[in-house]
Amino acid sequence: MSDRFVHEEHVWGTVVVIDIRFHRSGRHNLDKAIREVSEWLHDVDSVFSTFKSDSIITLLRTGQISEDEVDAGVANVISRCRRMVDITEGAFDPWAVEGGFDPSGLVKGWAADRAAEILTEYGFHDFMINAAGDLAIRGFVEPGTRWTIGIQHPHLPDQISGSVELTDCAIATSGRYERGEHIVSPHGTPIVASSATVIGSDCATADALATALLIAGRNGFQWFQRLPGWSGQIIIDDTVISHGPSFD
Amino acid sequence: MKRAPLVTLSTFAGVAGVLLLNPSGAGSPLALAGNTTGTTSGATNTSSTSTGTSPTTSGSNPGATAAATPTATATSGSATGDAVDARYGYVQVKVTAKNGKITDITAVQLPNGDGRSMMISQQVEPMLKEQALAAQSANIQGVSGASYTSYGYQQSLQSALTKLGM
Repeated sequence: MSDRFVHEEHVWGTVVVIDIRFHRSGRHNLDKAIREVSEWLHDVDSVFSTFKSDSIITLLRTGQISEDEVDAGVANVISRCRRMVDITEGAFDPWAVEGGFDPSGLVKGWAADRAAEILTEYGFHDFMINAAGDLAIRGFVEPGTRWTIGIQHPHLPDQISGSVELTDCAIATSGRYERGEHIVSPHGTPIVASSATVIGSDCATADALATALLIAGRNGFQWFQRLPGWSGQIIIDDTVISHGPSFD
Repeated sequence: MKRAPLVTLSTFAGVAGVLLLNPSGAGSPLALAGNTTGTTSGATNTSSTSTGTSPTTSGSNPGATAAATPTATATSGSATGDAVDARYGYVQVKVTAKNGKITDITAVQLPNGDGRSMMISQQVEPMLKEQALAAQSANIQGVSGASYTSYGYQQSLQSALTKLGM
């Protein structure tokens, strides 16, 4: 019997990889847990997809419903977004997006956090959820060995710029390579950083912070370094600027 | 805050472009040399990038080397895979092989409708290589920031491999 299980769920127009190790748990309820995670990911898609004309988010964006008419999950995402606008001093602002409120920059991570919670509730301790480049990490890849995660190289698509060893945390990277070269910040200033990576407690925050740090560039470290327990790294041209214990 | 020059990790650069796929979900994984690299000597991992829900075997099989695995099939030629609906449009790839090794993978069809699809298409091929890089490296379990992993690309690739008898 293999000590590893990998499931790829095709959702959101991309892939979520669930990689579970069994050195501290059995496989009891594995199928059930994976099914529940998959259903959760597809639920998130149907509620938050900006591509679906009948999603709650589309109804919000087009003004067919208001923010006080949404369910608890959407309300939670809205309040998390609001908090991230404050923390990042507006560098992350889903309300400043063309076309109306678009929380995609936080939802992917938020979905990964809940997916990790589901697996934990089912008794799994050691797993990685790779939500299309935003990762929730739990436990160890094998006894005593942390997960090694590469960071996408901003200029060389088939390479990584480095790697970090992680346990019980989240990591997210935002890069201009995936957002187009012409992107400007909500304040209209050009973005100079090539990519930004953050590591911390939860994937929703990591997702939003990575986007914010990419937009804010090195000035973003002014607010970023006030966040306890978070590590951040931005790459500008050929220079890497890092802050926090994960990048020591 | 500290600053450092950006350095690509040479350990990984050497094996970029080498894919390990398990086309049918059974049997030995094939070593596939992508179009950027001619060697598979860096690959020592039997981890596959198989799709679906079946369990994947551990990536830490110490005795296995991928370099010379496709012994029986000395396939040469090329085949075009199925056109796979990848939500934003169809993905179809053509595979060229020589002596049982893939020498080239080209995209015959990629989605190119709206701006987002264009952006995704441009990322598809590099991301596939990235995914392969992540999968075949014994030391990396995932890559942060690599978002547009292509399911359709991989499916089309696998159907092309089947046509080639690989």
